[in-house]
Amino acid sequence: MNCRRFAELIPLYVEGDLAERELSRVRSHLQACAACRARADEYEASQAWLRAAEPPDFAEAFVDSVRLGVMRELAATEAPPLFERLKVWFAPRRLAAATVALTAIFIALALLIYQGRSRSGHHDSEVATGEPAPPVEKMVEGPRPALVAGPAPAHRPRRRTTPNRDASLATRTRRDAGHTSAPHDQLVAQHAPETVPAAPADGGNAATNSAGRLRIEIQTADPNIRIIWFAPKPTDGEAPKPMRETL
Amino acid sequence: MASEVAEITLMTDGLRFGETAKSVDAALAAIIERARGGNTAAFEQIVIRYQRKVLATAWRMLGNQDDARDAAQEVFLRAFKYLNSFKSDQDFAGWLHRITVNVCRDAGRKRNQSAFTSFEDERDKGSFDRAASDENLETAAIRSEQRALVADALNTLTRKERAALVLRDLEGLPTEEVARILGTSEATVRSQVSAARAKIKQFYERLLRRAKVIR
Repeated sequence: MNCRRFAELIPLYVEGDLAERELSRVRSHLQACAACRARADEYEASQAWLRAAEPPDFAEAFVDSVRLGVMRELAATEAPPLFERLKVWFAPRRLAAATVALTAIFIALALLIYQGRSRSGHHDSEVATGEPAPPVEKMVEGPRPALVAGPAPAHRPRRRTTPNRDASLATRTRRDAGHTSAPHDQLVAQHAPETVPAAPADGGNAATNSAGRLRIEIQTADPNIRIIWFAPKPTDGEAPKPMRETL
Repeated sequence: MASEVAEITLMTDGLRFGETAKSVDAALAAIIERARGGNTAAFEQIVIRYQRKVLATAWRMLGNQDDARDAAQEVFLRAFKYLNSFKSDQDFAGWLHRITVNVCRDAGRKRNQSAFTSFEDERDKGSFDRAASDENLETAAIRSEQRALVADALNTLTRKERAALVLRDLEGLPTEEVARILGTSEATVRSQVSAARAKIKQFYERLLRRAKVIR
């Protein structure tokens, strides 16, 4: 082994980091080589100089600032803000909380839709007759409403059916009635449940089909729901018995 | 709280009057167990016991007092957080040492330098030797300057070399323990330490040459 190889081992030799076999070899070489021995002395001196520089003698207040800082942080962790505490509280109950929240949202939406529909039907009735109208169900189940003959009202309610739908409705109504006594614009004007012509002879939306039954159509506020009454033609002294069909 | 303080006294008294390390360890184990259950007062005792040692290591790794203090606080906060992962058959000081080294390495990465702050910075802040009020001012100045020079010498090392050298030569840990703390092999530690010692020697020789020129 030459000096170059020993030079690599000397930094480890001076701090006792060599295995026994290498250590004995280095010792032997240092006894014989003055240059390597001088190098080893230099390493020992620099290592001694390094160790002599102890860390500063920290002031008590400085040392204690570590403890104070740590305890302050721990105290802040122990009492987290309200939001954090709520988050921690809800964490294991996440599923239950989500279920409650979804149920509440569903109920609120259902109420909103229900209220919106009732208000809309109510408004349509008021527009057509000029005064508040009872709910559709009451009209249907209550005593037979007084049918009004004549042309379509001046204040037509807002149309919710498409022209094609109106046309097919008119065609169907005419077919059921067996004749075309009602003008087209009168037939398509039947949107609200309140204005229905009384008799086919008057050109209203009520018609008598070939079987002699009276057909009365009432368009509810919902464009998908139309109430159709088939009532037997009233005979003298006998009140007609309405039949109801909902499309 | 009063009982906690009493226990601290008991522990230090035990050390002072030469009680066996075993009984001290038993007292420490009891405190650690309580701290593990979230008892911050118990953990405070651990901080008091180790804060000076942690500060010294952090100072050697980072090179200035402010960074050392921040690192020491982070060390104890991490220790509290992960206290449940500490096994009772482990050496608590070694465990804390590993956290210290990791925190200092993280701090070094964040700072994106392995440099010490210069001696001038420290001297301007008057942070050296505040406690040594009775010491001769000249001696204190020499010590401070020597520390600053060593700080400059350590500043010539890479981060890994520095960590290995500080743990092996300044903290006096065996190579095997250094390797475990740094998460590397003993051969790598030996190689890093060897390179670091060579750089320190070069720095020291330059210093000596400069001193001769001045004379």
